[in-house]
Amino acid sequence: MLSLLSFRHVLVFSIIIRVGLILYSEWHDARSVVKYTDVDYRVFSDAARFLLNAENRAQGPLGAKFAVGDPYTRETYRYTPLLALLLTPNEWLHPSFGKYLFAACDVLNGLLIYDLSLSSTSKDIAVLCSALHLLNPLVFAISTRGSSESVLSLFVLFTLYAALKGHWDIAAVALGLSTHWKIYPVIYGVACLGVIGHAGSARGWKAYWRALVNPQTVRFTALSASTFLCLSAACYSIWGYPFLYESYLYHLHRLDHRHNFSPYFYLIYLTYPALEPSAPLDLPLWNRLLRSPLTSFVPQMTLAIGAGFAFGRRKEYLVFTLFVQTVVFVVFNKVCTSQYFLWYLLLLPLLLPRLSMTRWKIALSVGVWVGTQALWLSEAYKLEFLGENVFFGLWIRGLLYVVGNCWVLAQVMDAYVVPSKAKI
Amino acid sequence: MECVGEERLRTRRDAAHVLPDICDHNPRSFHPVFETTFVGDGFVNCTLNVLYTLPPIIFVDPYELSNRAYSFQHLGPSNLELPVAAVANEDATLLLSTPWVPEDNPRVFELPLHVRYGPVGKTEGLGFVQTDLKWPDAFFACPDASSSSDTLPLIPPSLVAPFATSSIFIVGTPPDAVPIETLRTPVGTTADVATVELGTAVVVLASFSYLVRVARRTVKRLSTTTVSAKED
Repeated sequence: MLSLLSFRHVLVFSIIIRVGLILYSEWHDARSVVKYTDVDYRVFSDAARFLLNAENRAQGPLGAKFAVGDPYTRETYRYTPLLALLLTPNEWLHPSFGKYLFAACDVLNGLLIYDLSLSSTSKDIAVLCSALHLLNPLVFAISTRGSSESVLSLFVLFTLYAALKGHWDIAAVALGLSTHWKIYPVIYGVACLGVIGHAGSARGWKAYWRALVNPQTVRFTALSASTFLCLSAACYSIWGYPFLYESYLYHLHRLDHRHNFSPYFYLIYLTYPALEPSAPLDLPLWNRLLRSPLTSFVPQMTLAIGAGFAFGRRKEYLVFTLFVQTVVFVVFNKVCTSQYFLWYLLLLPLLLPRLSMTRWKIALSVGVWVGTQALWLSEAYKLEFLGENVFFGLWIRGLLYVVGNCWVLAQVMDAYVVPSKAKI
Repeated sequence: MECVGEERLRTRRDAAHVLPDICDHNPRSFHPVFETTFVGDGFVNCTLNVLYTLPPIIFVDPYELSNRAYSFQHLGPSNLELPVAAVANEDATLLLSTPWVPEDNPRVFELPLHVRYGPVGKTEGLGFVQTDLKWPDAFFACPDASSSSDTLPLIPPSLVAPFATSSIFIVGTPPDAVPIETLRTPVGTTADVATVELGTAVVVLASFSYLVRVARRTVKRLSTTTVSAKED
């Protein structure tokens, strides 16, 4: 009863914080040139407005039939049109509707974390786990500023929830929806297949192959892929090629030259293809290899998918597997902003009860994780707002960010304890 | 006048003559604000129009401007994301307009600017590129077409139509003023390419190898622990 009351307190307090911050954001933005609200929220809101304006016709074969507008009229809107659809009440109900929606997703995520934690730990620990998410300043700041990450987090968490409860059909559909929303959750499919097929009990390659390819895993794959394809086909039929390009194809070829945590930014900037190339480049093979997208893509996907195969063998390992997969995906990605950290921070409260670390190691890991970001942010401020030429220094800090995060992940992997007699 | 907050480019003009008020420091941030202050009497029922010519390295965000208390028209390169090397080498034109209220002055026009990543330098060391940003041309457009002999400043033909039946009153600049603001933007250097290329690849591949080793160790430990638990 005491623990239940404590969770209620956490829930109520987290709702109050979020509502308070959203109300503050309205007051602040009306009075300050420097806005509390994220630029992305303006992008979503503008896209929602364009979607409601049927004169700005959607370009798909059925666009005219449904009389909806084209959210991709909004430059830099590179998301599923379903997000713009979700935010249409911004236009006819209240401009902050989207923020309340994102905050509500945050709270739902907290509920899911609490429920999942209850399955394998005590109530006190479950309350702590949910509080780590609900009262995390990074989490509530991002959602109340109008970033939509909490929506995808909800889909991913729900996928995990359904998987851990053994509802694999629901998990498959949720995974398909997550992948439609953003591509990266597709990597979780590998872990799910291993768990469904009980790969942990397989001895030898033949048995492992049978664990991965069997009627249950084929069903899961088919359901998940069908969900993704149906959603994409529906969106394409209404919004056409712009949906396909902005939501998916753009991300395959994007060149993020402006500074971000990833050390790739500086090389991309230095070698950005000019509109009018002065002379064709004749690079030696080793140069072309170093600049090839494969140099970044292969390590990233090998680790992300490889971790799914390596650790996705038992249901008890699923949280750990998804966490490792997400961290390596983010760390080795060619672009990384603070919002990406939410993708794996979401899973950390569920993982923490399974980590055995000394206090010294915990402090050092947190210190390195925070410290590498602080190092980078301090240099980025000099570049962006003081105009100092710190490109090289910022690149070095990007390398430190990669090394530091890899070291922290290694500590997490070494600290992971096999769950014994788990209730799941 | 001191620079306040983020880098601001300030000019001050009144209806009779220009009084420039330039920020002490050369603006170097990637998000400078071009601030122009107008002071003057009269021009009732007129609109104040401010015409900017933006070189390719500088751009405005039309979606950001739509939240401001003035209307605007924008022509030319408008991509919000590309570096200067990847956009057409042509200036953009921006015309801001607002009804002039004589009681409400001095009237300040704040134009938030953004700077693209500049052309990569070819020499070693810390490079910067200087960009000259011309002061905007400003004029009042008043309803009585016969009361002024001034003509429109040089603006693109597509922007002329709204002023076809208006009287134009140019807001001049003092003869001794240098109507240019200078932006100084840091740029990368090609001398860094080899180091950055090799360094990034080495660190990424080393980190990859390290994590593969740790993952293998973890898999072995988990397998051993699970087998032991089963035997127990």
